[in-house]
Amino acid sequence: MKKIFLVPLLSNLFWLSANAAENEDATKALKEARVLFEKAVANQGGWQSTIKLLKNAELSLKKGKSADALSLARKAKQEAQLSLAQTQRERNNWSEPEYLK
Amino acid sequence: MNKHQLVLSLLILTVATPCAWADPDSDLKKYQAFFTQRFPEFNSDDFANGMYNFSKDKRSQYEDIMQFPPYIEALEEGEALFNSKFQNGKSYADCFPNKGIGIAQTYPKFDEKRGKVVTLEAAINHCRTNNGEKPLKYLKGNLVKIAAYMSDTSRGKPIQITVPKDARAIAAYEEGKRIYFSRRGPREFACYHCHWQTSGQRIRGNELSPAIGQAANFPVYRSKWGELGSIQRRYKGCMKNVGSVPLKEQSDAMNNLQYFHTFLSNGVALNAPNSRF
Repeated sequence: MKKIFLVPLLSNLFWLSANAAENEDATKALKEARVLFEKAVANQGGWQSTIKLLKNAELSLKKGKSADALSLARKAKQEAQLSLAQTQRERNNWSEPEYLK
Repeated sequence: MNKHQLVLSLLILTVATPCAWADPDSDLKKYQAFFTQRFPEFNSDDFANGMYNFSKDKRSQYEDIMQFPPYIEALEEGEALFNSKFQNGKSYADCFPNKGIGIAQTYPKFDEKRGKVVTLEAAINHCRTNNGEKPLKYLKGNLVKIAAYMSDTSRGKPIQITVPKDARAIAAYEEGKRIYFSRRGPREFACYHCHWQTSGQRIRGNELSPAIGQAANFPVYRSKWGELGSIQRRYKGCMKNVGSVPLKEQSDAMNNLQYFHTFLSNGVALNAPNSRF
């Protein structure tokens, strides 16, 4: 009889701890993404789509959908990295088009 | 070489470098030559007509609209605002050379005292704050109406943006040029991608206007906006269209972009305010 109660209890505990870890990961990824995005904007860059990803990640986090939040935050972080790389690349390597040279 | 000499040399190098590698006048010759070769049938005024050069249908609609220009009411409001007195008894006319009449074609201009580019809208707000009034919002509304009235008094005068031989002015021009030719957003678009080699072609339902002459029409009444808006409002729209976060209005970067972009239209007669779809 005890086993009948123990199995769902352990399973719930496992789920809760996994969810908490995912939540923590999502919060961390979201924070990192936001820092990178703000850095890109401060450097005259940044993409509109990242704003949407950040908002949706935050919303998912509030709703307790940690897995979705983590996935969106990772995408936002990746985009923010790309936009920052773009603005740094353009700052040092922009050029007039070939047909003007 | 001691420390002081090293610092001095570095300072001289920093100040002198922009002068050494930037020549706005030869840039202008090269850029305008590109467009006059691309559109040999255009005269200077045609460039100001932008997209209406490429679609008879839209040109005809534009001419119909201009029978009763949609910005007329805003223009009259702008004139009344311009002529109204501040609480201290002074007015906008007291802040500008020639009482603010017929000077819009020289903006944006490099302000040596401030060491930066100043747009007409910013100059209007400086006038307000210097006279104890609150600044107005930059992208639309009363400020743009006043700018529209001042531009109307310059209608027909060729755009005359100068880049003085001042390292700070050259640096501002160069920053504007860099932003103009830099790719932005996930689609990697720069301003020139749409308005240079592909000008005159279509992007979905719209014909792309050449870079030269665009600035001659602002402030502009856009049907999409249903009101007058400043050129920086349009820049922000373009930047969003290519998926990038727009630069902040009246930031140094945005003003420098406007400086470079308006400089491209030097010689084209101001035709502002105007109407666009």
